[in-house]
Amino acid sequence: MKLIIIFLNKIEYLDDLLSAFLEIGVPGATILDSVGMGHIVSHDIPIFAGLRDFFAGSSPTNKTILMVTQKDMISKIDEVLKDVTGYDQQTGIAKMVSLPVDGLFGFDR
Amino acid sequence: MRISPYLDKDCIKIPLENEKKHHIIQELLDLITEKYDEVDQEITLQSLLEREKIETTGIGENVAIPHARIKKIQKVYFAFGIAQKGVEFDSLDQRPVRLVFLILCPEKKVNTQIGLLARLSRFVHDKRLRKKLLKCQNSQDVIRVFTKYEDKHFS
Repeated sequence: MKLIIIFLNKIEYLDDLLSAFLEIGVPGATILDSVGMGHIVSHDIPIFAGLRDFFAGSSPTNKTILMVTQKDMISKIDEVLKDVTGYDQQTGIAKMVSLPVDGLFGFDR
Repeated sequence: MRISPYLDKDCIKIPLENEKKHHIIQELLDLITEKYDEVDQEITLQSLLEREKIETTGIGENVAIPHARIKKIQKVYFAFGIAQKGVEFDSLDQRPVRLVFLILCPEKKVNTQIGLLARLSRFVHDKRLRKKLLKCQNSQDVIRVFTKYEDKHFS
């Protein structure tokens, strides 16, 4: 099993992305409201206010999507993410990582 | 990233002569421009004051760190001064400023600027360091205090 984490900066893709995940059989995910570090640094810590132009790409709001899935789903999820967001064509739209899961507790078997 | 290698004994002034924010920024900048020809007085001052307009660099606890990124400079410049009396600096905590660090970075060295600001703003949250700096009588004292502090905490 794998834990997939998707950092979705362009949140306008969220609805389509979740619909597409349902289509390929992703049974569920947890979606968190999140904020890019650069945005917090340059807007909430005054000494870094002069760096707002540098951190301009850092999202004021983004979504972090967490899902536990079978290993063979990773490539399908990647395809869907590419298809919906085009994140492989342009930086700053989304990022995805997958991590090995060594224990599952409280999940439906 | 250590601060002490950037300290220049000729760019440290104790006490500062001026008592107003803009004049103090100018006074510290003068220390740099008098020694280093590549730093343009007018352009740099303008950049420093523009930065102050975005949000104050008076970070509280009697400390200010005016700074700017400058196009035509090749290296980082650092000046430091201690005001005898507290100076009104529009500080976040409304307290007057006594310790003023001025940093100039080459425009493309954004990461250097971030590193210096982050390190310095963390340093000056340490009350013991601020107390030691306020006791400094000359530039050698300042360099010694910083070097010793960094050796102890960041070696």
